Amino acid sequence: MSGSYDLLPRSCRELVLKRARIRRWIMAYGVAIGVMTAGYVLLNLGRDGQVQYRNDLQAQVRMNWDRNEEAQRLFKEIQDLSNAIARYNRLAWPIRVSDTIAIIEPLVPESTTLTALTLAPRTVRVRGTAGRDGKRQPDQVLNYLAAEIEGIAIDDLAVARIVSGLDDHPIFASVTLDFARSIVVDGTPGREFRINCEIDLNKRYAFVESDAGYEAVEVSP
Amino acid sequence: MMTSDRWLPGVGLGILVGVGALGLLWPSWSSGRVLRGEIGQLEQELSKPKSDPEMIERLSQELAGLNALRDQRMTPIPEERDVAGLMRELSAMLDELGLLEREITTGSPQVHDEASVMPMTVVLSGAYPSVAEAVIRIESLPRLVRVQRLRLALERTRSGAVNRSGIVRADIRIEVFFEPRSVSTAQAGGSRR
Repeated sequence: MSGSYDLLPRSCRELVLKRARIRRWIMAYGVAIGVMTAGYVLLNLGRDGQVQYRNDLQAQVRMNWDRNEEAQRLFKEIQDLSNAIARYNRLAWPIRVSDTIAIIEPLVPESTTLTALTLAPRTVRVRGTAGRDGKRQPDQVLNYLAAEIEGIAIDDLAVARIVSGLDDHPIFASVTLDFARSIVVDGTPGREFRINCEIDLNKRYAFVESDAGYEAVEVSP
Repeated sequence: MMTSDRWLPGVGLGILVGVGALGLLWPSWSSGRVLRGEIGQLEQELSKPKSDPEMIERLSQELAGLNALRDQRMTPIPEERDVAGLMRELSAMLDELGLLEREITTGSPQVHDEASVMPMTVVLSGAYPSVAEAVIRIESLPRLVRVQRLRLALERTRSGAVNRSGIVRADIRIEVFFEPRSVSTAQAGGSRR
């Protein structure tokens, strides 16, 4: 027959049990605190890195927004300016009449006197012709500056010099001698003449002042 | 019967766990979730198409080029007609050039697709250099002015003989633009007269 005998006095036994209970509670508290601390540590593990990463991303996003805003502002400005330039090109003539006078002046020999100069823009609408596919091409609007030059020259050679000067100049087209007839000025025989020519206003021109005079060159629109 | 020394530690433990969970773990978990959400949103935002610095640079250069073109070639079209200001400017300029024999008339304004236009005629009489300078200055006014017709002619004498006075008569018909309007290119294509 086997068995255990508790020989401790009752008061001692209670004390031992109480101590054991207290130890269990302390252990339970310790475990709870440990679990919560571990949880807290785990939850906050790498938090500083994440915050830094978030801040970097925010800065990058803000920079992108700023860039996008800047790009949109630039786009709008470009669009507005392009529209204004296009409108200006449609409204203003590509060549000023004062530029045209400055080009004509050196082409006239000293012995020749200009009695009149008329410059007037003209517009001609050319109806579109039918193409090979039967479709009618759109009408074309031709703008040109018509110049009419009248004067008195000493002889036909001087008149011819003006005509060839205009003809050789890149901006003048359709140069025609309207007439060259005899005239007597203060008892001296001369030639009265009228020359017509045109400047294409659908093109763009740039002007340069050189030793040879005032020169115009055609530029791309 | 359960004594207080038995249940009190249990209650204390419960309170400790509750306070720990609510005051320590929940805020950490919650702020972590918010942080991850923010990071996700920011990453999504970053994945959207964006303007790179090269593009900004390219646009800036394009704008600078257009600005240079405008400054070099364009004359502004004012919002207001300002006839008084124009007349004042013309008179001062013609006085300065000594062209006192002159006549300036204005017509009724017309409304066009892209701007309003006021026709104006200037008739001048004077020495050729002054008249030529006047034409240059009219075309260089600080607003868009388009010459519609210019005729320079030596004044004829009554006898029909050649005038050697050097006095030239200039008839200048101009169009003064104001009130610019924006229209589409397609609409404006045929508006040029």
